[in-house]
Amino acid sequence: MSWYTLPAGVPWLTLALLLPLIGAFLVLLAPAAARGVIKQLGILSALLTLVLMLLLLGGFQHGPGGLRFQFEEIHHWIPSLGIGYHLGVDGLSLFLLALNGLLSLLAMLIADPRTPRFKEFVLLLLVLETATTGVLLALDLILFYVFWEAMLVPLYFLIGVWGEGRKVFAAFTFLIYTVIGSFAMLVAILAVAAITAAQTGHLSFDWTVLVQHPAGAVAQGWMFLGFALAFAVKMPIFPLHSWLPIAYPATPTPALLVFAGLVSKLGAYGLIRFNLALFPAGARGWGPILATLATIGILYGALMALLQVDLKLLVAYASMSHLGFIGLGIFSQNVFGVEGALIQMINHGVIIAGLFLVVFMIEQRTGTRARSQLRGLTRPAPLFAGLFFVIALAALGLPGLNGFVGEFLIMLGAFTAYLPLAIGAGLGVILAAWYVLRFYQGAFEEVPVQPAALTEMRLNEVGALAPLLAIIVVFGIVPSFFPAAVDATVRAVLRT
Amino acid sequence: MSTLAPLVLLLPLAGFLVNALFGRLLPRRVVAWVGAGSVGASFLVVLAIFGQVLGGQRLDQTYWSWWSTGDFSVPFNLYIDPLSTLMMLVITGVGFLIHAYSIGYMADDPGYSRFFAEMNLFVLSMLLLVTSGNFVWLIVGWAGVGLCSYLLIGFWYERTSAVLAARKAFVMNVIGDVGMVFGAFVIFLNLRALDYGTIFARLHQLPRGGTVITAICLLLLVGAIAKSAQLPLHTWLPDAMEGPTPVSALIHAATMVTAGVYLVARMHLLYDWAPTAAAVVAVIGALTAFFAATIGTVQVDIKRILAYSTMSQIGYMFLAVGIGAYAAGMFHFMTHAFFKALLFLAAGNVIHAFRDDQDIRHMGFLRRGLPITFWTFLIGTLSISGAPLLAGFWSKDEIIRSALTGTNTLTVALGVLALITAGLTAFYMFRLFFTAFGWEWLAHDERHLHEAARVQTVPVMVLAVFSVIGGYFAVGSFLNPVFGEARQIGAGAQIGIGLVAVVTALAGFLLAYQLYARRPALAPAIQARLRPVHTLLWRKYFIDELYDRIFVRPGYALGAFLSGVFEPRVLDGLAAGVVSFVQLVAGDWRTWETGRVRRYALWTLGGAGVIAGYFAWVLLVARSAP
Repeated sequence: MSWYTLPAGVPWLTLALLLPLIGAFLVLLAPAAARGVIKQLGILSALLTLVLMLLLLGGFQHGPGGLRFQFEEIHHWIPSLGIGYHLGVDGLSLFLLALNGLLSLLAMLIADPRTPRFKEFVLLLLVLETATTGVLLALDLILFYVFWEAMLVPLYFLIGVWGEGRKVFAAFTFLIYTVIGSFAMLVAILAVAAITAAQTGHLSFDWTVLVQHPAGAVAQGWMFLGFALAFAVKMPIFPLHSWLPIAYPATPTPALLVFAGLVSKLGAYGLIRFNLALFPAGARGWGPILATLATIGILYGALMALLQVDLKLLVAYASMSHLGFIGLGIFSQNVFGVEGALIQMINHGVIIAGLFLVVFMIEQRTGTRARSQLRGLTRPAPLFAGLFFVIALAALGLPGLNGFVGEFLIMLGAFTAYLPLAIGAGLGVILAAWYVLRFYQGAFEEVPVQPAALTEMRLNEVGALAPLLAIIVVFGIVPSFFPAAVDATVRAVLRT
Repeated sequence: MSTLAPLVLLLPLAGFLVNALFGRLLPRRVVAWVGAGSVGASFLVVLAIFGQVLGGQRLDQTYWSWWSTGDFSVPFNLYIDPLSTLMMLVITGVGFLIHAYSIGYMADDPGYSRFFAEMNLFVLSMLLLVTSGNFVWLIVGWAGVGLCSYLLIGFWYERTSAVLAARKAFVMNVIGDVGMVFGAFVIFLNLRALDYGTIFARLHQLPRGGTVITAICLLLLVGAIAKSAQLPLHTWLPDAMEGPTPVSALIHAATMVTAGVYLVARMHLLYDWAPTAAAVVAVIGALTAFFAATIGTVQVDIKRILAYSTMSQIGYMFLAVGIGAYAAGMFHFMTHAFFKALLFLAAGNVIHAFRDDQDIRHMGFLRRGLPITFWTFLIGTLSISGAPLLAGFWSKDEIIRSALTGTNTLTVALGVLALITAGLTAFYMFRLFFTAFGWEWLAHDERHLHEAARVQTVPVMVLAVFSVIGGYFAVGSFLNPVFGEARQIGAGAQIGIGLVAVVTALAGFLLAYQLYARRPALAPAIQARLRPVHTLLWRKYFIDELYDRIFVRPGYALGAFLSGVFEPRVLDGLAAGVVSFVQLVAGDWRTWETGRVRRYALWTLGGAGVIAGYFAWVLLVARSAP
């Protein structure tokens, strides 16, 4: 079942990879002084990419079909080493792809043309979009690794050049953590291909081949660990998170939308795509440990968020707490947990992007993001307060909004798999209500300290938040289209 | 009915959307009409449904699928039977009166449209709560009323006390929500369903009184006591009085706080199946009834006294549904909605007359200045105190009677406690009445107090009528199809217990009359002699202080430790270790900005190449092997 059928024979996915790159190329040709033109070019390419991704979303065939990939493209690349150019979409990547398009567009929309070296800034954002798209589409492990590492380059410069505070240190810390994780993954990629080659007699890095030939339990355990290290750093899972409070606050907000909203979820995506699918035995062994770490992350992030004064840091820790939920769902390793994690990945991307946008808008207006210096912002800006409040409610998982759907399923999955961890997650929900309300009430309620420093939200800002708010409300009330699209894939990955 | 039922929900939803989106642009008159009118219209639709339900119709209709994977499928379905119809009647009926009253009460408030939008959202959520036919949407409604409660407690968001009270109410309600969600999980994992119809049908697969059913009922009870402000999750309700008085009347008296009673009554098949859990419900109810009544005897804030009274009366309802007298509990829910809404609205008129002073010791002389408010408040006081033939008498009597004629000692003991509480109720209510409304009603009134506007007095008078005649509504037989025939009690026992209850209430009344009307000098003297007891009650048994010590402060302390010590010292130490390790391996990195990143990248590539080469070699060996 699908809404329509896209014509076959068109390399849709390659097009999705190329569109931002073409945009980047055009930006390269534009004179650096034509900032307006550059911004328009950036918006246009991101918009076209988003439209293409929404087209794919609508053309995706729902219903049973197991591990059948859609819009698939296979070409030889380095046949002697079994490396191919293999792209495809399934239930795991479908919605993340659309989220990627949406967040990249939002990043372009809020990018300030007065930024120094704006041309390079837009260019790097577009390159980043190609890389994140590639991570989601690649079905060859080497190709995946290339895109995974390619993501690092634009991010590294976006933080190091355009960041704030200790930006160079932040970029470097992030780099080191990520590279260590990636290196472990590279070793594991080579190992899994070699072991499968020993079984089949053909060297192949193709995911669809590898998934059919699981290795022995012990080898799986080690390879699981290699992949998990790379993904756990990106998410991050406790205790590998200590780059996060350094890197997130330093990242310029347009890049942060993609960084926190999407890149962190790519770690979670990798855990499902590779760790659960390729190493079921490894996942059984390591699952409980990672689920426990994820739950610690929920509570740790929540307690840290409770104490933060800097709103950007507060949201960063809240994000870590939410990603703990996602990790817990994944390592519950049942349909509820994994589907809950998948939908929560989308929801979290929307919510966290919304929260960072709000912090950005507050800081733009008042010149500060210290909670202690903000009070009573509702009176001068009631619309601002109202829109933020809806996002805040979604962040604390209010039933009826999108945050609830995922949290409910994740906790149901965890409840089935590990009862004590589910109780820990329940505590995390209570703490979330506490820190979110402290954030909202602290900044927006009580009597303003000085004459209103905040101006009301402008129309284009409402426009930037509008798609996020629409998703927050609609996904909460009618989320049923989601399992219809992902259920078959999730069951195939879990082999249930 | 399948089209009428959604209409009940859609009307307040429309009212909410109009006032929330355009309220600031609309004239106040329109805002008021939309706000109150949508609830009134909804009431009319409920009346139509009521007629159909009387005719024997029921509804359990699915409108859309919320989630569906494998056997986990959650519909959006509405479930209409006499129980939900009674709830809807009270929510929209009393709700409409309170909305109408608010037109006058909130007339000068700058947040006029926001107020009506939030009130409509509340009515919507509450209706969703009682009409949902499955747990997910019950939880949505459940959280929705909690949200509106938060919004309306903190309505005057520039007051620090209101902000804190709102947050406290929200967080305590989330504790209950989590309990409910876990209850729903246990139900799903054992019965593979979340819709009521299937749950009730499969219920008897579980062993009676077993761990599973008991766990389900206790987890749901966590939600119920948080929402209904029962022990030990009650501390938010007195603080909730920070909200405007119509909010206290609608949310924190008549409807939302009774959601816990509704939940137990709705799930009565489950509680019948888990006697231990049901007994816990009854014990919590009776204890809360007594506990709150004792605190009510010493407080001086008119709204807080009424808040403790609400806790106490809901305790009665919990007692009723805990001992299986479900119809009696719902009967008391209805009469309580009448007289408590009346008391709050009348108190609102008094508070306005005294320019927002809520201390009963500063009030008095109200008969001349506010005659309508005076007499209606007296009717409410009589009704709640159990004066014969008024509404409160019949419903409370039924609960006490069901308990006292119970088959086991515990039930009878709880009945005795409920009887004592009835005496306390008459005492604290008349203490409030004599102190605030002035026993010196023959004395000369030098102040110029003014009665409230017609739009505020008419709803109060309507509620007063129902507080008198509400006891004659045949709630029991209306609910029979849901709960089955109530246990029959002999006429002698009925009259006897009724008499005892009246005498107890009379004793409370006389004591209050002596202390606060006849000999006002006596009360301070007694208070001085019983100083420790008074302090204990005045400080509400020190429970707020206790929770602060054992939950709030340790929470912050742990957070402070993590962000002040653990993260910077331990974790960042670890991170610094990793970084210096890299430095050690790769040489001096302090000048890395000048292009050494490239070398680092080369190292990565080189290392990867070495490993790739190794695997290629392994592969070649593997291939060349025979």
